[in-house]
Amino acid sequence: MEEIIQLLVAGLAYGSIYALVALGFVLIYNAVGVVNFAQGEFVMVPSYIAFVFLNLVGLPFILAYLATIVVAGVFGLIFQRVAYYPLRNRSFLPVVISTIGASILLQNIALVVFDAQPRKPNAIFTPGEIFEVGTIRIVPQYVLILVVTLLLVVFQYFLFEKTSLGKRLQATAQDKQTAQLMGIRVNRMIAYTFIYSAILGAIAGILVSPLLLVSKGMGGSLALKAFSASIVGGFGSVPGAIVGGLFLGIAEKFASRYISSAYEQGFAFIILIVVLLFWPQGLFGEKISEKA
Amino acid sequence: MKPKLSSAKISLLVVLTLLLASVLVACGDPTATPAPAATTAAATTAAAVATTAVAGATTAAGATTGGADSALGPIPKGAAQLNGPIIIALNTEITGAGAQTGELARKAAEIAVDKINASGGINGQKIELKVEDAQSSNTGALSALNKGVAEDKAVIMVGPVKSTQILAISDRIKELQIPALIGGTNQSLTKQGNTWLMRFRPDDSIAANAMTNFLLGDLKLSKVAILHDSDAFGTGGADIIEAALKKEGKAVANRQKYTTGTQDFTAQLLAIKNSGADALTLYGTNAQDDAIILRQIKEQGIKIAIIGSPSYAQTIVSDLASDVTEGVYVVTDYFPGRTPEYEEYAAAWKAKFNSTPDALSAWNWDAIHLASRVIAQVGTDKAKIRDTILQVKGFKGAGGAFSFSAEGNGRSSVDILQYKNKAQSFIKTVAVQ
Repeated sequence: MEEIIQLLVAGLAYGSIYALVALGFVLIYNAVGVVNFAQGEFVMVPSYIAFVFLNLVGLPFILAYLATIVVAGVFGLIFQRVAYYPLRNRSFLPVVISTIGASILLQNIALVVFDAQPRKPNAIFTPGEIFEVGTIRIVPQYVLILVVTLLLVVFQYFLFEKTSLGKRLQATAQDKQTAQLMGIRVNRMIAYTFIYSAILGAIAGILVSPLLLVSKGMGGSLALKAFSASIVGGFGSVPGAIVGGLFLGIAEKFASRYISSAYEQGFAFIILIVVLLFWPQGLFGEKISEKA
Repeated sequence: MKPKLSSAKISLLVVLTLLLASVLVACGDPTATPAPAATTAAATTAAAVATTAVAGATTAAGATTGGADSALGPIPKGAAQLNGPIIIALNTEITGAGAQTGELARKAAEIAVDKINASGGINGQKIELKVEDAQSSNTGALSALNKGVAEDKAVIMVGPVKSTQILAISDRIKELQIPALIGGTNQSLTKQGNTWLMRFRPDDSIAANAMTNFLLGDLKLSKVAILHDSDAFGTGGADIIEAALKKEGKAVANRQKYTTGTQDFTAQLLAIKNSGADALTLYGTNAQDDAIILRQIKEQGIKIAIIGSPSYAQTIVSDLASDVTEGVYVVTDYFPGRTPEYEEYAAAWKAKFNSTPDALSAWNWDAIHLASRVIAQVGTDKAKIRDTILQVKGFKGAGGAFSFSAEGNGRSSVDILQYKNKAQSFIKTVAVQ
């Protein structure tokens, strides 16, 4: 029983990270109809920024994290301007290739600036520290990940459903021409989407880098899993991305424990293929046209 | 509505398939490389006899140069007439997943070359180091080899360090007939009849057997679990541990695997924890994974004896996981800091890079020093270089003593260390006959 709870907590924690990155994918996809293959770098770059603020500048945690989020937002904007905006009137593939190129470029910039050694950011919780509930050992960072993700999902719900900005973002995602006719500044909304997506990546990076360490390749496998998660959930669906991420995180842990640990990294893709075969629209596929 | 949704979806699937394919390729079985036919082209003419004499001289030169502040010293002037600079290719991973290790190897090689050049080079000729990027892949290692030989005109190649890559390029090394001073530790590398491979690190059988013997013999434990990387290196090591346990009449308590770059080991560690094992052997490839594993072992409250493979001694682990290494044993090529030769290496590293020297990369330094001595004696004839290196006995390098077997294995012992108070302390040396 305690084993199941521990697997569940770890699965939910990693699932939350997949969900945050998957949200970044889905929001950009909805806004501009393009898959951003540099989504992993939206996690990696802010993780390095947080490392600089925490370890090199020596800011206290809250300040360092806020500064990271601000810089990540700026990074998202620059990314939008450089990698997407010049190609905005082209078809799907040139933009996808552009994001893949940006991903490779950013990884190599990280390699040049920080060399290849992974970095350990200062963390709120000391590594190896746990708290015990009965005989169950809970890693505090996992709880932090869960709480922050939950808060973020609630925040995002209010942002998109209850504010005028959210409505304009949704309108842009649903139909750019009509939105433009309604006087919504579509390009600005798209820029906001990239900024928000980068901020989601920054939060995922801040949460996960004490566990994974900061390295240039840290975003790659996260992005791949998150991509699978968003397809499992139904590509384009916001709740689908969240549920898909959590589902994948948990499934991975249980499959690894009870089927075979050798293929832990493969289960995400096995699930993906099964879902594509039987529910090609994903778990929440029908809602594509309704949600931002 | 979204335009081009259907074509977008198709493109998505195409890209996804490509990504999946690349993931699967990365997991491919590297041992599938066909074993080359055993054709030894050892020189058996009078030239070989002469080489033997030179080898003796080289050994003597290596053994006699002592001294506190200059352990290896300058390259002793030899008989060889050299024209132009000596080109050494370093086949290492500058980009890709192995870039951490590759960067350390490059640093170790650079300081060796700087050192030799600063003290007069080889018979007055400078060494030129050409760093060729293996791109952390088998094909990358192959093109690095080809470039090193065809474009750089290197006389020897140092690296690669990954057994998988060496297996992949072994046939080509034989074709090109270039002495390859390798760091790959998979036992089979020097058993396929390729006489151009010379190994500068102890092979896996030595390390894995030492781990098992230490747990059973010294610590008197019997229920040994294994957690290993599922790549060729980790699987090979784990297989040797399992075989060594079997020889002692013990079964493996629990065996778990992971893929390089795995982020969470909760499932594997829970399985080990609940198996009732009293000892855990860790066979990892990637030091970053090792650091995460040690942290999670502590988080899971696993308090059994733990012994790790050589990568657990890397500075990445001791720096990044310092909070969680207490008490962990590691089998390593050699325990650093006990010889003037190592001090010399460490001092050169600190002087140039102002960081902790990486002990596990010292073999690059040793390979270049040893090869330079040989080249000073026999010149740039590649077959002569190879034959002479294979006869070197008792060369004292930063990474221990090198005595080459006919198969091309330079090292035959490992050291066991233990992390105590965030530092590594020496436990014992285990030599294998």
